[in-house]
Amino acid sequence: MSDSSTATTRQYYHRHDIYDKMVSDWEIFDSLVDFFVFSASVGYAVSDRPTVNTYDDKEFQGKTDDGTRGEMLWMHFTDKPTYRAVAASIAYQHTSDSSALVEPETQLEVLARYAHAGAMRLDREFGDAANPPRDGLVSFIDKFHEADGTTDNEDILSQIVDSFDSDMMSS
Amino acid sequence: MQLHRLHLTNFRQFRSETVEFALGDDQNVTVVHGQNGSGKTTLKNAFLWVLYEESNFNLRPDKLASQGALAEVNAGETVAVEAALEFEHEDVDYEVTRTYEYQRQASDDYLGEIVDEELSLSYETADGKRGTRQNPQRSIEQILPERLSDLFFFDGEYITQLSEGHSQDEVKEAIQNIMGLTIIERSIRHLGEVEGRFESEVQEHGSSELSELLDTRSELRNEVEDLTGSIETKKESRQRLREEISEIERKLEGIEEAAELQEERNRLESRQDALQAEIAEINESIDAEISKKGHLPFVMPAIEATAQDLDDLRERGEIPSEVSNQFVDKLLAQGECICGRRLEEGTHPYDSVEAYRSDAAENGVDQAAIRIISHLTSIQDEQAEYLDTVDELLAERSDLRDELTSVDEQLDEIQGELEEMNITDPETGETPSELESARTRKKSEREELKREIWDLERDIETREERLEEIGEEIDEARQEESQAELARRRMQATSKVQQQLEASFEQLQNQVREYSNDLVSKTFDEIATKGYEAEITDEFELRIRDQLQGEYLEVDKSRGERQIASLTFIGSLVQIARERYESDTDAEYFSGGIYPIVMDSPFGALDDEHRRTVSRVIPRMAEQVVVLVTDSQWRGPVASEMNEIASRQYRLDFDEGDGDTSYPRSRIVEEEISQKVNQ
Repeated sequence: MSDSSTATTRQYYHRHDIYDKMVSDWEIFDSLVDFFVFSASVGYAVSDRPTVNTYDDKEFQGKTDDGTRGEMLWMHFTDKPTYRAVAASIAYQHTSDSSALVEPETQLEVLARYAHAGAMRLDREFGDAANPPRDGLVSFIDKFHEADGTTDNEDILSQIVDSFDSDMMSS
Repeated sequence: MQLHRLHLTNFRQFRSETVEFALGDDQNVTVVHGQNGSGKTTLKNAFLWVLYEESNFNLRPDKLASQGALAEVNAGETVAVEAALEFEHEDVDYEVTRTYEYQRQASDDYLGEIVDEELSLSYETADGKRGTRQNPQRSIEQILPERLSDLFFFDGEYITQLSEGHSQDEVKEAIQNIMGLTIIERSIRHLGEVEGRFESEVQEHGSSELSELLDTRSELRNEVEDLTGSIETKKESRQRLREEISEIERKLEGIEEAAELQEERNRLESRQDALQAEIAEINESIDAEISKKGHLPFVMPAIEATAQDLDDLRERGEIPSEVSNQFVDKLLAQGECICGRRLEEGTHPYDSVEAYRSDAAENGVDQAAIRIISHLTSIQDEQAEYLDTVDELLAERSDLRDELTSVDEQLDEIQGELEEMNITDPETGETPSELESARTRKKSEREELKREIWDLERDIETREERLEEIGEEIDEARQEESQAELARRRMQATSKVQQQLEASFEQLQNQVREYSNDLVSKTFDEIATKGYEAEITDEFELRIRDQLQGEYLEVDKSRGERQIASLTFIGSLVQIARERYESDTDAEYFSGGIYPIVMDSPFGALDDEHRRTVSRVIPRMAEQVVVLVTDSQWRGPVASEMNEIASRQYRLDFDEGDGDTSYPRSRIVEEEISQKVNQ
């Protein structure tokens, strides 16, 4: 699917209060897109597929009547390879369907579901902070990283990259 | 409109009968008389049926067919029931023919079942042009509107109704019909409904919300203005304090014992500012790292698991597919292979090419896999970079904070030393201790002002946000208000039009009533028994006044005065229709016309004297009159009065048959002049 055909793809998401605090008030995140991806990543780490699948539309997409509805455009992802890899991976892991790797609609919807879970967690952690919770966020990230220990997989990932280099990318 | 001829075929008891109608200024009356049940009412209803497909028979329309005609055909065969009316209207001769085809269902069926219907209206103009109207019913409606049929085809019952007490509705309806005013009445009623709808709209959209919102906005704007003024004042105070502090510092520099401490303080404060700026810069860098890369530690497991799965697919040879599915699809869509062979569905070449499609991996998955894998290294690098960079920034910030703490302590020490220095400056008489205390106080005041300004700015921000919301609410309320205003104006316009229409309606109705009243009064006075006068009251009642008593009297039903009043009233309406037709002025609702009158049993149960009187009225009612009477009504004074003007007279001969070999049948027999005289 070409980028031009998906340029108008969009997805409603639940814009919790923490979005404005993190972006506008404390200015820790540069944009709503950055915090959306961050929330989705946190949500993926702290929640699970059955839980996010129970969210009904109004829950993870917000509501217009109470001002909690935000809109995320795929065009904000098209020139950010890392964000696209994140979106594709979360969507693929969530659906276990390879077609999710190439469907922006699916990827945005799955991200919106996990972003809802992540934003709720971040709101609980930092929503009442009087000052920018910068150091708290750093600790929050560190704690998860230390608990996960992904650095052990570096060798395996290097092997995968090498295999693809010789097998696919050169073809 | 002038009636020429009516021919009935198998129409009830008439098998094939014709009536030709009297024409002319002096002899304009056609009389058909017969015993009760011989077919007079059937004749009147034949007019309504042929013109409007209406029949006032108490029987069902499926009993129109002649029993005798049905008896002559076998089951399954049909009988045509037909009425044909020839008339002239505006110098064009017309013939309207309505036919029902009845099918006999069984040997004992004497009613039949309608299997076909037809209506035609043929015409011939004065210059010989002939044709048939495409929409005959609409043409008939234009010549003689159905709403007027009660006025021109009526019976004795209608005549009695008009002159009965509480006859306003009938009289009003007759007047409205003759003037075409019913359309105005409907418009007035409809406008009333429309006004009601607009009123509901006004109630729905109109409210005091807009003015309340505007008041709130005005209050908020005033508050913002006041707060802005307070901030300006406090900023000026801060600036003044800053200048006073600078002045104190200059004085301290001017006191020899304190100068060195003050210079050191200046240096330390500069360093303090620099350190704070550096720390702020580091915080911004940490923010940037969190914003762009902080998500990676959370999502790396998903990326790694996806990469692992993709590698499994690669190992199984499912990606990359040997031939791009897109390429295969393109060839199949083009219908031609790269070797030039035609690819048609169901053929061997088509199936061969289609077999190259790989159903293991979806279109685009190859590219997506490559995109993820090719960024895997950089994603890992980004995560490592985040962790390293943030660690470095935190360490650097920690060092800066330590130094800042040290600077703060040194500044506190300097402050303490100066506060204990009680040497008096000979020029100013002030001690460093006094100056330092004042400086500390002013510094504190300045900090307090800074906090106050910050609070005020938050207050303004809150109000600005509310103002923005109120702006949107005002826009919405204005929209509602404009809808309400529009509905209000429409409601007023509707009401005005309704009032004007009502006034016009009343005026027109009264004009017709007054005109009709004049005609009724005049004709009644000429014809009726002396001592009575008739009028149409303001309340549209057709009343007869006893001149002697000067009071309205309920005249006995059997008296001819009531019939005369009713007939003169109908005659007045016919005259109004004719005058409107002949008038040069444009008629908005009804252009009028010249119409005949067909009346069934107009004499009721009157005595001879009153029958004679009524007979004098009839020829004056319209340019052409058809009178259907019983033999008993016809004999005596009626016949003697009408003989001179009834140039066509018919007798109905009725034979009720034996029900076995013969069936009810009426014949219409024209009577000779000599016979007429002998009646």
